[in-house]
Amino acid sequence: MWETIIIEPFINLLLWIYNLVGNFGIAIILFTTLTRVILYPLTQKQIKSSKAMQELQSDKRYIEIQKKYANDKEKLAQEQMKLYQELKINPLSSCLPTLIQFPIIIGLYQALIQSLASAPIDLLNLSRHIYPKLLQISEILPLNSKFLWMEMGQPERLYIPGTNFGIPVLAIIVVITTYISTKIITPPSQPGTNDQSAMMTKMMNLYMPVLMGWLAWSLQSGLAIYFVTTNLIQIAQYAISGNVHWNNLLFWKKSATPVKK
Amino acid sequence: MNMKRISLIFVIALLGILLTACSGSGATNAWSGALISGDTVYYAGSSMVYALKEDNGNIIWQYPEKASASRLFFAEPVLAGDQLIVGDYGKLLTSLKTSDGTENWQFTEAKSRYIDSPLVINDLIIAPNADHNIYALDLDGNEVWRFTGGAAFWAKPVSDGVMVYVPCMDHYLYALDSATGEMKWKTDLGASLVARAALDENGVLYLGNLDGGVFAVNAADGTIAWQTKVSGGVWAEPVLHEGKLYFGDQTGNINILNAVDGTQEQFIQTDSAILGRGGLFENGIIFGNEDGELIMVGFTGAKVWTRTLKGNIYGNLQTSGDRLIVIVNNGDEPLVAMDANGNQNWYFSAK
Repeated sequence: MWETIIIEPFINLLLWIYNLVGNFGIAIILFTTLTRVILYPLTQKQIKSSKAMQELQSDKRYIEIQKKYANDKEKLAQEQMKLYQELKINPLSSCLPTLIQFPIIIGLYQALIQSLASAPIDLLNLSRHIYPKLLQISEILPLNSKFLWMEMGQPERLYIPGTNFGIPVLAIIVVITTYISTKIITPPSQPGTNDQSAMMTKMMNLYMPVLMGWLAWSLQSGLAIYFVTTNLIQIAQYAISGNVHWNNLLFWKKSATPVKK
Repeated sequence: MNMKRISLIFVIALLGILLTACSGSGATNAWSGALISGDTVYYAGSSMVYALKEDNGNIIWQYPEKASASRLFFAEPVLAGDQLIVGDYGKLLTSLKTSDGTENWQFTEAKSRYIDSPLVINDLIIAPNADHNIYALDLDGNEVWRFTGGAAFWAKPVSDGVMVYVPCMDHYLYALDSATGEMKWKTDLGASLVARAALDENGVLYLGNLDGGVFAVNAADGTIAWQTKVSGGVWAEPVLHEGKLYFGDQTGNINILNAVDGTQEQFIQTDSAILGRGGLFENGIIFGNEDGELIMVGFTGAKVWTRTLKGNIYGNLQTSGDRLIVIVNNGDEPLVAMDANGNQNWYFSAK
């Protein structure tokens, strides 16, 4: 069912785009862009909800509740809920769009992997996923999986002529774009409040680029192209909605959000 | 470092492992191959190559000493005198001593996987690689020539001793001079070619493509003698017997074609894809399908017997004398030795 509803349509869409442009790298970029554009209303909703939650954290009443009921978790939850109702904020609405997007993103990821088909059983499965009315196997295969210096089905390395040393250029780009995209969408932490949450965010901002870089280094370069495209689109989407915190990139410059009255 | 920080690192690491596992870069996306030679069965069993006793499956030797996730062996090993040549998914072509499995040499120039076996002719090892190249090496592992095609080479070449005929994923069948690698002709067969070709004594090549097209091609000049279509993609070469071609297809049909003009004499339906080459015996040809069924078809086209093994049968069936070797994916018994009547004699599992 998961294959039929999510993965098969994605594979066919990706390969249909590939059939139009004739290059798998470009097809991945267009496919990722298209899916992110389609998911934009959900992303926008998520951005708005996150912003509301962020503003709430700098609300004077919210801070007072945190201090007052610091040792009574049950009462704290009740008072927070009252405040949410009063301000008409649904705390779940910032994660719900993410939850809805999650299976789609996993499907996208699997569609990419299956389309690369660099081994016999992968190719067998791919041939079974193709809608014969939309695509012909004789037209699609072999996939032109070369993009710039990269082979989409292999981990990317740029070899310096005359040496056997390959630089993982794409993995480095993934690390940089992931760092930028996570850093600039993170609201500046407010001194004195919710230190643990700020610390967790800070750690995520450090570990996620490393994780994504490691995946880009070890997996097919087609996936690294997907990661980079996703990061760049995410930055663009947040910039369009005016929620980018460029100051976060200036590690020597610390800013604080003023407390609302 | 507090517990929250440790938990976060753990969750991120777990996510990474999960995503890596989802990538399909693991071990189960291909099928293994085997070779019977005298009283030994050589088995490319994913992480290891084994030499097994033909009569009971006991291990004679295994290679390498330690299994590695990056070096997976799927292509059928081939013999070159007292060398066993094995290609792997880690871009290496390795020569092993047949006596004890120790390394003679390694060819490290390829940039991608060895999906199928090399061909050995005239003291040359001709190895197809997914990096779009065919590599010809001497018996010491030195490169003699290489030929670059338009896409990956997934099929073992066939030769008449002078020319080498190589199917390619770029839709072309190439004819190369075995001594120099110079291309004599190429013929477009309409879709990707992952199946090996069969060559008869009259100089006609028979092969199918992934779109179900089946062709007879004159080896002399590459002209198409006849072409026809079967119901599914063809993944293995036909077995030639008394003027007929026997081969399976992706829809599960066993096709029997007249080799002279390509007319379909008969087809036998099975329930799942047949991707491997049939195994020829005196009284018929055995095919294995994805559901784990083994079907022996007599030369009259009638089913002689069927057996079912637990798992999927994708690879070529190997026969020698009365011995049948079946490679099974996703089963508890990855290599099964049977006789020509389908009676199981032994099985081998690395576990």
